[in-house]
Amino acid sequence: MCRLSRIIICLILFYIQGYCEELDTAKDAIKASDLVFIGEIADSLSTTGETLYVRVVEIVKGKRGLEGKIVNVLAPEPIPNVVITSLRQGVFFLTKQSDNLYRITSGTIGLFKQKELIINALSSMYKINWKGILFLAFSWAFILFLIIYSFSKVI
Amino acid sequence: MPLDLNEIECKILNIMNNTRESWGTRFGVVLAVAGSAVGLGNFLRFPVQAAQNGGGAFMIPYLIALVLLGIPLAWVEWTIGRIAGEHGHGTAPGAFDVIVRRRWAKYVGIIGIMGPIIIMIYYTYIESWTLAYAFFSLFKRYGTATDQHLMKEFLLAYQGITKNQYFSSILPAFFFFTLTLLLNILIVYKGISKGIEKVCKIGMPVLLALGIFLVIRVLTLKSPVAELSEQNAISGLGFMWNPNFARLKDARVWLAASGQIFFTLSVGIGVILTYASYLKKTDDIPASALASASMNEFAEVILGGTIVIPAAFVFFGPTQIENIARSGAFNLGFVSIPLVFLKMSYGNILGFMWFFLLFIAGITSSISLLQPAISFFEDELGWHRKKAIVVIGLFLLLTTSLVIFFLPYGFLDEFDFWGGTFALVLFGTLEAILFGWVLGVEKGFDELHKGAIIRVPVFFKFVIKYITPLYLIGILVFWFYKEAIPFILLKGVKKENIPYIIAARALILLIAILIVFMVREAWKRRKTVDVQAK
Repeated sequence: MCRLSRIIICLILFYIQGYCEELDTAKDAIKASDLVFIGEIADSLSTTGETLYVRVVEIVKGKRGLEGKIVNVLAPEPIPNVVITSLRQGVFFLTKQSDNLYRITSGTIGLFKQKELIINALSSMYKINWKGILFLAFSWAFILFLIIYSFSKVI
Repeated sequence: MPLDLNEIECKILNIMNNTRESWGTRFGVVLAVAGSAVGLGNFLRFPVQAAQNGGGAFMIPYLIALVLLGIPLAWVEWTIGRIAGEHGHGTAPGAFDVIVRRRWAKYVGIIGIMGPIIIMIYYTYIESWTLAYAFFSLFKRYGTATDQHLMKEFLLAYQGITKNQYFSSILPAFFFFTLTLLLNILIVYKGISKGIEKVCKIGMPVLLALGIFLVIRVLTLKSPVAELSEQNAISGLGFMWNPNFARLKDARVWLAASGQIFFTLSVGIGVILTYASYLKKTDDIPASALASASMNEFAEVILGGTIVIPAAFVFFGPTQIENIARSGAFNLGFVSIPLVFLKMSYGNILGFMWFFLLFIAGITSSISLLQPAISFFEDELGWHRKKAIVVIGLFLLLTTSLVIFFLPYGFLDEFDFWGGTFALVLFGTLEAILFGWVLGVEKGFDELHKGAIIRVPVFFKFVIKYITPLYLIGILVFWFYKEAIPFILLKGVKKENIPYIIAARALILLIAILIVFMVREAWKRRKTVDVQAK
C-alpha cells in the first residue's frame, strides 16, 4: 500500500514536472518570438514552397491589427504540399525579417499543434506575481483601514 | 411679477424658521453620499482604467490623488454645502452668493446646478439599460446572442441603432427608461429623509452584499475548458494587478488616475453640496465625508477591481482580454460581461445579480443628481416639491428622449462632455478656490470642524489651500489642451453628425440661459421676501 502510494506520488510529480517543463518551453518560445498567433495556411494563395501565406486568426503576442490579415512566412526549407495540407491550423511563432515577412522561430515547430499549451503558457504569464499581490494587499488594506476607522467614528 | 402669498409664506418659513428638511441619521447621510458616489464607473470604468494604465502601479497615482485631491475636495464640498444650508440655500448659486458676497457670484454657481441636470439627461437612460439587462438575464432573453459580435448586435438593436432579430424598435428601451425615470421621481418626491435616505439605507447594503457574493463567485471560477487550467481568476487578477512601473513615466497615467478619483467620488458635480445643505449645524463632516469616500473606494477597488476583469479573463482567455479591456467600459459591461454570465451555471441568476447591482449603483447616483434642481426650485423659487418634481420630470422626459432617438449621432457623448467632464473639473476647481482662498482656509477649517467627531490633520490646511487647487488647475489645463480643444472644434466628427452636435450644444446653452434667468428671478424674490420678513 505504502509502495503503491509512493509510486502514485512519484507519477504525479513526474507529470507535474513534465507539464511545468512543457509550459516553460512554451513561455520561452512566446518570449523569443516577435509575433505569435493562431493561424491557418491560406487556401487561396497556397504556397510557393519557400513562402507560406498564413491567415492570422487570433493573436497571442503582437499587433492586434493583424487579425484577419495574411502574413508571409519564410519556410525553413521548401515544404511539400502534402505537409502543408496536413498542417492547416496551428500556432505560429514568428521572428520578424522585414516588413510583413517573418520566419519561424527556431525550436517552435513542435508546439505547432499545441494550442491549449500555448494558451495555458500565456495565461500563466499573466498569473498574479508577488508585486501584484503586494499592490493588491496594500490597496485593500489601506481602504479597509479607512473604512474601519471612519465607520467606527460615524456609527 | 407679483408674488404668490403661499410662496412668500413658504420662503419666510424656510428662512426664518429654518424648516428645510434634514437627514434622519448620520449613518443615513453617509450612505446617501456613498450611494451618490458609487455608480456604474466603480464597476466598469475603474477596472478598465487600472488594467490599461499599469495595473497595480496605477494604484500609486490613484491613492495619492485620493489623499491629495479626492478626500480634501469632499471635505470642501461638504463644508460649503452646510454653510449654504444654514442660509436657506441648497445649491451652488446660493453657496457662492453667501461666501463671495458679490452680485456676480451666484451666476458662477449655476455650474453646480447645470452639471447635475445635464448628466441626468443621459445618465437615467444608461441606468435604464442595467434594469433592462437585469430583466434579460433573469428571463434568458438574449436569444442567439452567444458571442461578442452577436451580443454587440443585441445591444445596438436595443439602443435602436440597428434593427435585427433581437429588437425591431426602440420601444423596449423607451419603456425601461420611463420606468427608471418614474422610480427616480418617486424616490425624490418622498423627500430627503423618507425618500433618498431610506432608499440608500436599503440599497447600499444590498449592493455591497451582491458585490461580495459576486467577488467570491468570480474568485472560485474555473476555466470553462478543462484543458485550459491556467486560464483562471488568479491569472485574471494578475492581468489587473501585476504592476508595470514603466507606465508611471507617462503623464497620462497620472491624469487618468486623478480623473478617476475625481469622477468616482462625485465631487465637483454639486450633488454633495446639496446633500450637505440638509445637515444640521452640529452634524459631523470630517468623519462622515471620509466614511462615504471609503465606502466608495471599497466598491471601486475591492469589488470593482475583482469582478469584471478576472471573470472576463476566465471566459475569454489571455488572447482576448486585452481587446476587451481596450474596448471600453460600456462594451465590457453590456457586451462581454453578459456573455460571461451566459456561460456560467445559474448564469441567469448571477447575471441578474450583476445588473441589479449596477442598477442600484445607478439609481442611488441618479436620485442625487435630481436633488440639486429640486432643491433650487424649493429653496430659491419657493415651489412646492410636487410642482418641482412635475416640472423636472417632464423636462427630463423630453430631453432624454432626444438622447435616446439621436444616440447614433453623438448626442449622449456631447452631454457627457459638457456635464460629466467639463462642468465637473471646472466646478471642482472653483470650489477649491472658494474654500481655500475666498472663505479662507482658517475659517473654512473652523466650519469643517463644527460638530466634528474627528480632527482633520493640520497638514491638510496646506493641502487644501495650495495642493488641491493647483492639482485641479493642472488637470483642467492639461485636459483642456489634450482633449477639450479637439472635442470643441469637432475634430474627427462625422459630417452627418455635426448638425446634431450643434443642436445638442444649443440645447445646453438654452438650459444655461434658463438657469441664469431663474437665478435672477430667485434673488429678486428673495429680496422681496427678506423685506417682508423684516
